[in-house]
Amino acid sequence: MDYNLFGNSGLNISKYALGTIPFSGTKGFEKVSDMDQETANYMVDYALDQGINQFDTANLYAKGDAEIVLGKAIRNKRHDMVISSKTGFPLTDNPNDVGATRINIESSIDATLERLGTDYIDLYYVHCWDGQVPVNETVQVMNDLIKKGKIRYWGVSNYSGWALAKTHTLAVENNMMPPIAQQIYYTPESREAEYELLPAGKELGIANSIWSPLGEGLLRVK
Amino acid sequence: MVPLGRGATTGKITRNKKAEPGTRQGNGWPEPYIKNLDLFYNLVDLLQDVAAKHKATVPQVVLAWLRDRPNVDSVVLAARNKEQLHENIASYNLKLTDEDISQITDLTALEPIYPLWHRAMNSYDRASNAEKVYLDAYNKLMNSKSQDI
Repeated sequence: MDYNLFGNSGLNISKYALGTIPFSGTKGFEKVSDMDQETANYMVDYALDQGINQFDTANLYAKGDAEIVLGKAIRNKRHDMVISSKTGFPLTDNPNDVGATRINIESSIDATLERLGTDYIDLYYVHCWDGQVPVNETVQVMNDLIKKGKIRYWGVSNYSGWALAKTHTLAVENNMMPPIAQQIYYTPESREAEYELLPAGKELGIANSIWSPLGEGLLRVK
Repeated sequence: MVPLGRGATTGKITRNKKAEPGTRQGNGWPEPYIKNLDLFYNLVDLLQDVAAKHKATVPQVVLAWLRDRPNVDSVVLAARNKEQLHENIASYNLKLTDEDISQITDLTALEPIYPLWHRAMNSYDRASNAEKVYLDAYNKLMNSKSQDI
């Protein structure tokens, strides 16, 4: 397995990462999988054994249950795992439980850390662009979380090219930490990330991490 | 490392066969949006040919192609069972030939939407370094198509 520094950061990550959408397979994610804790533990062990050090989750996956399963699978391996999670999609009807706002990000990270059973995560993504909140608010709160030691780095996911550049520029022009990675959808069937996102990430020092490389199961063909 | 092609796949979506129950697509998962179903089926045919040549699986060919694309830093794999996990990770040992790669890349070539066709045609030299590889591909596609009107 090859390792590289993730974007313009000191975080060393494996080329392959283990995703956790199928962990648990409950709370609306029954179509994705039906996975028990023992299998999840095996997956973490096997991935680590194969040199994979990156484990990705989100509060969206099984509405928090995937984080609980990943958290139990950490056992005594926390130091060897680079763990990322995400927030932004609504999980409740509370109008403040959504988006890239200070109130949602601050409450989401605490819930995520509790479910994972860890004091910090390595990388925290905004799961989708929020055009209803000032970018400055998002950048500020992510930098605050870094200062509090709750996250080490932050990133974005599913942004448009201009939104990525706006976010990055606003951060660096104000001497704040910009996103170090973006998680984006890219498969041979769907290559639109080449238009803007992939070259923008490279030019900005934002690592390009690909979610669902098999097209959400579309390319899992015999 | 598990040998290539050991993992049992379950999806089997092809032109002649719908996604099966017990898979994400067969269970009625709404994503992703498939823009061009014909292209998708042609891609599956090609991926199956490449996979057979390497005694690998279609997912392994996709992962091998994707991880070596320009500017891709990391690929997040997921699996619903141990077999898929082994299959996915074993793809790291699959080395596609230049011909395999260009066949997949050419079949799925992106249309250069504005301003990309204009920039590829007229100001390629002033492009940022990270985007030149894509502008090259747009010029190749444009040159391959008749523009006689």
